[in-house]
Amino acid sequence: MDSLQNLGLGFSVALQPAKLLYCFLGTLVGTLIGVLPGIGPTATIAMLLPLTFTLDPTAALIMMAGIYYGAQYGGSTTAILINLPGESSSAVTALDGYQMARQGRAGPALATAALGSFFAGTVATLVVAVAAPPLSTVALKFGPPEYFSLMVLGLVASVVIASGSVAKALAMVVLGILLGLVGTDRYTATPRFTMGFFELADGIEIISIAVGMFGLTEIMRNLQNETTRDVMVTRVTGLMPSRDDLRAIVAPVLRGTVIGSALGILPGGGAVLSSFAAYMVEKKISKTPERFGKGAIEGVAAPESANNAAAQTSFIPMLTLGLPINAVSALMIGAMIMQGIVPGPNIVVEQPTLFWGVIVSMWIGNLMLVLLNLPLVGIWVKLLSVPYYVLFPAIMAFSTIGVFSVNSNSFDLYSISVFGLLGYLLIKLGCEPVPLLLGFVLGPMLEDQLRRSMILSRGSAAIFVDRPISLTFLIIALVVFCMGVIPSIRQKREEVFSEAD
Amino acid sequence: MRVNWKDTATGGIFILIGIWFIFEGYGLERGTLSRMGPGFFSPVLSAILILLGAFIALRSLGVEPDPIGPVSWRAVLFTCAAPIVFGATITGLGLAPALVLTVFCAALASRRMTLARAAAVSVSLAAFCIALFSYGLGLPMPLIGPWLAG
Repeated sequence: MDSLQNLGLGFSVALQPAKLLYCFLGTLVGTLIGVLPGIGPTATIAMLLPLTFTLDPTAALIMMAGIYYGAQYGGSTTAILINLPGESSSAVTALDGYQMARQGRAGPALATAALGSFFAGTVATLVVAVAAPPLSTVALKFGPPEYFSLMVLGLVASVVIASGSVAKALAMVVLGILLGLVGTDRYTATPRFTMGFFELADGIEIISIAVGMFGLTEIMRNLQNETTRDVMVTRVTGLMPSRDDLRAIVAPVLRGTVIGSALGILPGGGAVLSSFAAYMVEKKISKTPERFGKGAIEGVAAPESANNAAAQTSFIPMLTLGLPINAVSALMIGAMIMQGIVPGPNIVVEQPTLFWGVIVSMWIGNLMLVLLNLPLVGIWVKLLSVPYYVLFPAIMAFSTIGVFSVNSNSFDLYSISVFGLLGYLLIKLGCEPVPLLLGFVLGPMLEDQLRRSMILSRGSAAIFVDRPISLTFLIIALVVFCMGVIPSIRQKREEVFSEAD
Repeated sequence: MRVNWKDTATGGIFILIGIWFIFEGYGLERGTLSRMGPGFFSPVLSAILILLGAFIALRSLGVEPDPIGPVSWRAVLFTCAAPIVFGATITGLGLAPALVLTVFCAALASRRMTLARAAAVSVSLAAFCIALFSYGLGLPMPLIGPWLAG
């Protein structure tokens, strides 16, 4: 069978010592930042992005993916032990997980989260392996109009799912696309919007935007209200869940995995959304819904499985279509472009070792996470006592060295400060930076596909509605957009976000 | 009249950026619909940005103001200054002094930072980074630059 052969190829890549090392490093860093509140996976990957350029592309993507799903994992540890979700996707886990810890059942709660996540990660990896090749085969038949409409759909979805005002998110996407157009025009070699800086001839570096808007901004945000953390850690005794516990979590883990795998593919914050959805479903179908919020083990099992599954399947659109659906995958696409790989459906065919190596490494990474987290949980919690005033200068030092090492160019460092300032200003005004990043990454491709489509159709915009697949994408985009602006749905969305914060 | 000046400002910023992109892209060749030039897509986007900005600004009129939350100017100043310090000193002073200065500057962003603490953090972090990047990863950056080598 083909998929078995492919997975075999993946294993042969992912089990190379160097790849195992980067996978381990990624999950380790991911767990670390997942445990530490105040540093998220997006900021970390943004800050480490320049350093990944020295690696080969497969190792770079393996490590970045490891940081992302490792963070989902580490976030649940602090959610359970000290009621402090390290990541927003584990906010629901804290509801019942912390109650379990207070009842002296921290061990089973941690084990449930770990085993549920591992099971979900395994299934989701298989889903990626099975779903990705046919999807990319379909996508290979896409012409420029289909791509253009697909990207429009992706951007619209990111706008609808971003928190806050739809108009602001839309404006951020447009601004992102405009920033993406800075640099030399590929067709005519005309410099655009470079203000005479020769450093901008190749366009704005994605690292400047990533490190500035996600790294520096995050630090400024955290420093605006510094508080001392009082860490009251419950002692963890007896990790293994009882037989009754195991029986109770089988169904929630399965349901969580299905919900997470499905929602993870949707653009936007798949992991956050799916953990909430999984929790709500469990509470709805439970015979004893009053137990939820008071230490119900199902309330830990389902969302933890869901967010891990979603973290995994959120790589499907990126790997098969070259379409980033959240900040992390946008950064990974940026890394691919800088490494000279053209993201898109061709990756499966042209870079099979990269594609399957990354997928299999996700499963290996999940296994590492179980081994890394359960026995060492005490060490991770101790890390919470590292003060933020040591942590953030270290991150700054790493990222400035990293940025300079890419081009040996001081201009890149100055642009980080500019984008950091702009990003902070916009966040203070209620504009999330994620849609801007997606627009920035997709901007040049969007313009390119638009121009090609118009050449194909000899100047008629009707080509986007005449071709059935393109029309379908546009209709879905319209429906998604309308759903985003209908007041009742918006209200529900705000509730989910306010709970997540 | 009540005005949510935060949104008024947001809209204004988007309008200004849109105008800047139209102005900057004025001389670019527009081309035709079937052969779009480099100056076709950007004015369209700029116009959309200006319209969205106007919509956001108009919507802010007659609405309760919305607080922007706490801002630490100290954090903004020092966090944004740190990469500039590194960029300005790395080629001249070399990696070691540039790192000490950069980390020192970054560390001052925290309100809970004292000068002694910042000095300790910057020297030890610089030593760690040099061990990791120069010796560990073999990054080709001179530790001491021409300004100091004399």
